[in-house]
Amino acid sequence: MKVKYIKTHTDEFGDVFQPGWVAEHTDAEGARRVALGVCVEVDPGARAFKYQPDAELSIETCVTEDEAAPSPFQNSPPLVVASKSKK
Amino acid sequence: MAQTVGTVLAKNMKMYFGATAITCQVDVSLSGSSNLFETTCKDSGANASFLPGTKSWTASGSANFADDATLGFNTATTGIFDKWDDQASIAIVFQTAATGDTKWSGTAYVSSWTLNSSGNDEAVTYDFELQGTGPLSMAIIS
Repeated sequence: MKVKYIKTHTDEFGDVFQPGWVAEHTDAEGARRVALGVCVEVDPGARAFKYQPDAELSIETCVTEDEAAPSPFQNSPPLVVASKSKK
Repeated sequence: MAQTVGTVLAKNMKMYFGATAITCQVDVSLSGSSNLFETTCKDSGANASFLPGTKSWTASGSANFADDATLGFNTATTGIFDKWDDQASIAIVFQTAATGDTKWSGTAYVSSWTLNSSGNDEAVTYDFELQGTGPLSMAIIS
């Protein structure tokens, strides 16, 4: 689970997280920290970076078929294989 | 996310330092070995015989480098460089994020690392090798 910290938090391993930072934890651990009120769940595609608290998250999204650029061969006429005539 | 059904997708299996996944991992692996000592003697038949001695394990990985990674190569105190420089141990876990899946955990030291800036249109990456110390435990993520 990706979470964004809203409060400064030091975990049991001594790792310190500042407000705005995005980190990935296991689902159970993330849920536990959300319940503690130190972070909120964010899009799983968000990159785990040290953002400023009000910064927009960098999120990788898949390109849908509508948005995908057409293949250079998509509108080309079908290939025709000419057979050699026997002389 | 509940226990994974069927083959686990590599994208979901990551290395964690403490409770946090390394940012932008590319490849990670975990391997174990046993030092087998030979017990073949003149009383043996035609077959060599061995017994297991000490067990050991290592972990390795690579990731894309980002200066502002939450847990990356240059992260103060917890990153690969500082762990190597301080000769400090790392509590590592190799797991998916899903409750009910299997995890492997233990303590390791950084035995080597490489920071790579290869070519022109490539991401800067780093590789690392970790030498496990003590047992490697297998458990269920709860």
